[in-house]
Amino acid sequence: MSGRVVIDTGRLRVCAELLSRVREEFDRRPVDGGETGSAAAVSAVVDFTEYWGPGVAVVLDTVEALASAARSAADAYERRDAQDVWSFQVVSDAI
Amino acid sequence: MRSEGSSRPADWSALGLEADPTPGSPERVDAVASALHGQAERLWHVMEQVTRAVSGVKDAQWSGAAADAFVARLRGVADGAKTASAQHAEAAHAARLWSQDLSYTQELAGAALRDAEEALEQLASAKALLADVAGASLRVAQAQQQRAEAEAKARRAAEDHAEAEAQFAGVLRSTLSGAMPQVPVGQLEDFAGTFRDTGFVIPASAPKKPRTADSTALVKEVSLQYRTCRTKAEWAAWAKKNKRTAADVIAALKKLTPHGRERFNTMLSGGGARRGFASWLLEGARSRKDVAWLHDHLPNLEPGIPDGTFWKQWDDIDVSGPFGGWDINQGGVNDCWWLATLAGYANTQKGQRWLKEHIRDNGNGTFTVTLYKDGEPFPVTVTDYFPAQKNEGVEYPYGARHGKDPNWVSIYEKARAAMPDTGSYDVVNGLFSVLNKDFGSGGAMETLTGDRARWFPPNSTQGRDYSTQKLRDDLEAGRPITVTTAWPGRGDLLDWHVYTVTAVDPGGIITLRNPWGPTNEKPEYVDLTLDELKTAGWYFNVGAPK
Repeated sequence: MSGRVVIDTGRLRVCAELLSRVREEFDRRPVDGGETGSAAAVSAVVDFTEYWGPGVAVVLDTVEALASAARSAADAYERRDAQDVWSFQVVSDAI
Repeated sequence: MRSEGSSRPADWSALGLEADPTPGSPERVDAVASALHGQAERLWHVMEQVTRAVSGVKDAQWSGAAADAFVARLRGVADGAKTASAQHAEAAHAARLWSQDLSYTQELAGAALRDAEEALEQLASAKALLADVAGASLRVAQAQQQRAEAEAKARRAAEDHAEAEAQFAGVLRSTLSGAMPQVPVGQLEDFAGTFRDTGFVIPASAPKKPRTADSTALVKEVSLQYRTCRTKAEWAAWAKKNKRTAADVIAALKKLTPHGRERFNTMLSGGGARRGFASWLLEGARSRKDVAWLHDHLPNLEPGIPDGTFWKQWDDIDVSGPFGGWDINQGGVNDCWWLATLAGYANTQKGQRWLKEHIRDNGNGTFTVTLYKDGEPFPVTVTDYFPAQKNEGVEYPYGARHGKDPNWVSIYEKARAAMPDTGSYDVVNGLFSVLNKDFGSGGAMETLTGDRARWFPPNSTQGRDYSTQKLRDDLEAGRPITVTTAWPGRGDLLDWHVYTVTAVDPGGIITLRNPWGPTNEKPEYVDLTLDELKTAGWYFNVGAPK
């Protein structure tokens, strides 16, 4: 723990939006290895797409998860702050 | 006949093939290359945006353990996107090269098919000429030869195709690494959810160092350098400065696609043998196998070869000596001026030693001969391939009159052909010799030793003063003497031919040797007086002693 917790949730939401757009804008176009040569070339292209198709998906899914995490974090900090405000008011009213 | 939906011929039977030896569509490969390139650019954009997000986290002044974990994860995915982009870019580059090679090999195969079809047509028409049996059989033989050549061309296209395709597939397979690890189902959702309260941990991929296309860069560097380097010494200096070796360059050249090699070889046609590059590369080859590869794949590293000949390798050539004038038996190359001069030096002990000291067996199928240019040593490295001919199934050195295998003289001859002012066996001829500095053998003498020679016609002042005693003194001092004969000359001498003066006896009889060696056409040795020699001679060359 750093012992210091501060955050501008508005900027964090901008960051989340940036990451979301990356995911949305990414145009995944399939690569067709047909007629690229004999079986050696065709199978190499197939192997490439079978490896990198999921490989790229992990990148994009992680970016999406990070966007979601940034939004969740912003929500969590704002909610906690609101709860803290409410708690202080309750305590303040009680004393 | 073309196959449906394709510009490629469907029928390859003229070549005895069931299918296209070079399958594939360059347009489709180009489309794959474009798709991969686009994907590489998009992934690069992802990396840039994720990196911007890292800055965004800082702008948000978010700190703490969760923020640290979030940023670490962002950096991990940026690295993952960068690696994926690099691998896609490399695959796209390989696809572009493969597309070029595919087009090239398809052109070769297409040309072979056309040749074969033409040969078959000629065969059919020749067989119809039954009345003219002799003419028909000749045309049949020609057509069969053409078809055999077409089949060989198609085989070559198929081999090049397979090689380039294997390279493409190899590069693609080499890019199958560096992807971020798969995340178990549900973990990413959990990951996002954990931010409501605490930090998170999911495996991050290790950043992968981008692979560098070192061999491609090296070939490009060599190609650029080729414009400025002129000698073996300049290439050696470049290599030293850049911490490169000939073996590095050979390894990089081997990684070129067939089309890339073709381009490199075309570049060498402007003087591969002459610009010192061949000498530096061949001498630095680590093995005989590498030299054979260079000879086979980059033929312009060799000097030009006479029409009607082919290269043949003769290994185990002994250059340890002893050397002698008797080793010189001129073949098909019209370079009596060069060989008669070599004989002049090989005629004396000092000259023999000089010749022996100026040839070195590199032990890898090459020899380095140190000749002289502008008075300075000029090493030339040549392979043990020599021009050959074939008759009745027997392969023999070009123009060999005695069926002898190449020897040290053949190496000196090839080195002369590879010099910057010639570059071809066809150029080192009699005409070249008379246009040469110091006229005729004088140029040869200077090229062999770096020392100026003198020349004079017999009817000049110097020629008239030249006595038998002076000739004897020159021989005893170890000076090579050659005589170029006049036209028309004596019956026992060839006209316009260079002879070596080998001896003068106490009675003043001078012996000349024909560099052809023993033949049935003219005597190998001719004895005559100085007056007779002056009558028969067009000019004399006298070299410096060695």
